[in-house]
Amino acid sequence: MPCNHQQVEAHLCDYLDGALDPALNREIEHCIETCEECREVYESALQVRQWSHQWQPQPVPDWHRTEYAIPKRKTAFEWMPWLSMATSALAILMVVFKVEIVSTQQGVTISFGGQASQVQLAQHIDQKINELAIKQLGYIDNRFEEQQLAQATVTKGMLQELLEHSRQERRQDMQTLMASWLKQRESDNAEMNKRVDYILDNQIENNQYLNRVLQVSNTNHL
Amino acid sequence: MLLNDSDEKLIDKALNGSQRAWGKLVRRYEGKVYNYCLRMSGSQNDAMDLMQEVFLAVYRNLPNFRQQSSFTTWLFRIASNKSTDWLRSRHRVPTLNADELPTDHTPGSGSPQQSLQQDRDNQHIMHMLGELSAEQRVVVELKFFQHFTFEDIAAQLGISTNTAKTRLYAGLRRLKGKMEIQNAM
Ligand SMILES: [Zn+2]
Repeated sequence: MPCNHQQVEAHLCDYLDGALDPALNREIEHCIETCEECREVYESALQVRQWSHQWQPQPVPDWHRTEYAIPKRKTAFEWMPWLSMATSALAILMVVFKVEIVSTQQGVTISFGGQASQVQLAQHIDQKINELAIKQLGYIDNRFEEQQLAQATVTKGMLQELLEHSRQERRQDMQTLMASWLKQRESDNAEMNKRVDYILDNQIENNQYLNRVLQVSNTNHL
Repeated sequence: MLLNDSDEKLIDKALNGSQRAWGKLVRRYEGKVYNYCLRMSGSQNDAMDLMQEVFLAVYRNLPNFRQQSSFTTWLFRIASNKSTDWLRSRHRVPTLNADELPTDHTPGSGSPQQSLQQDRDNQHIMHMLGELSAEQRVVVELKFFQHFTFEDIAAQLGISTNTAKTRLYAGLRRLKGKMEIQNAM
């Protein structure tokens, strides 16, 4: 019977680990002895396993671990550009969820009323993301004028792709956040504020990231 | 004392704004992730970029980590997605082809001869892994270098265990072909 390679495909790793029962073990041995393709794959697996032992772990070059991932305490100045974003995020919530905000001793309590429409929600998110796109484009243009980059077009294309990606992520963040609020209307305030902070912090992140990309591309091109 | 804190504890603290806890968590895993990125990208500069992208994504998604899997499994799910996306986008941009980049050099420890040999081994391994498609490469990496189970790999990549096994088999077969060409030269 010609080998259909399925046994080896399914059990090769267990075979290498010696984890098969004797009957199956013999079956795999037989495949490897009689089928050229299965034998090649087996030999290749032995080689790759040897590579994993041979690999010499490389030390990580120095990098900004926390600065990169967590913004420093925000000053009023740093917050300015994103204040509008924060207020508009709140505005979305208030429109879509007919939010009631009540001051209590612990701070602010938010409760939801009315039926939220998914379509309405999607439209609001679209609109916000488009506004963000325009802001980002303006930001890139200014940066490029400042720096008079060589090969600007290529780099600019890459950056736009990067920012497009970041907008998609932002959109996902917003959607996840909103969707979870739809589900649990009695949301914990502290948790909610934390998540709003996350999304907005990451806005700042993106600009830090963008600055870094620009620095790198400057060094490469100039 | 953060030294012996569990991943979960550090994640909690990081979520509450502790930079120290986040830094600790990053330091705990950056070596693993960086070497993974090296093998996935084949160059130090790209590995650095990719690693930073991975940790940024991990940080961004930290509130979503639900501890149904171990942190390592979850971390490598993000790393796998980022690196396959990255490899695919790489192929779209010919000016950034990894093959054309000069190889980087890091001085290793030990004698010069020893470190030269280690350097050559790593270069050879990266070169050979570079022969695989993004999908095959990530499965070979997760199985042989990270030692994940097929169930973990399937969950990380959003595929079935059978698909993971098929990709591994196809990847190994492709590597064997390339090894033979290398040996013949
Ligand atoms: Zn066979």
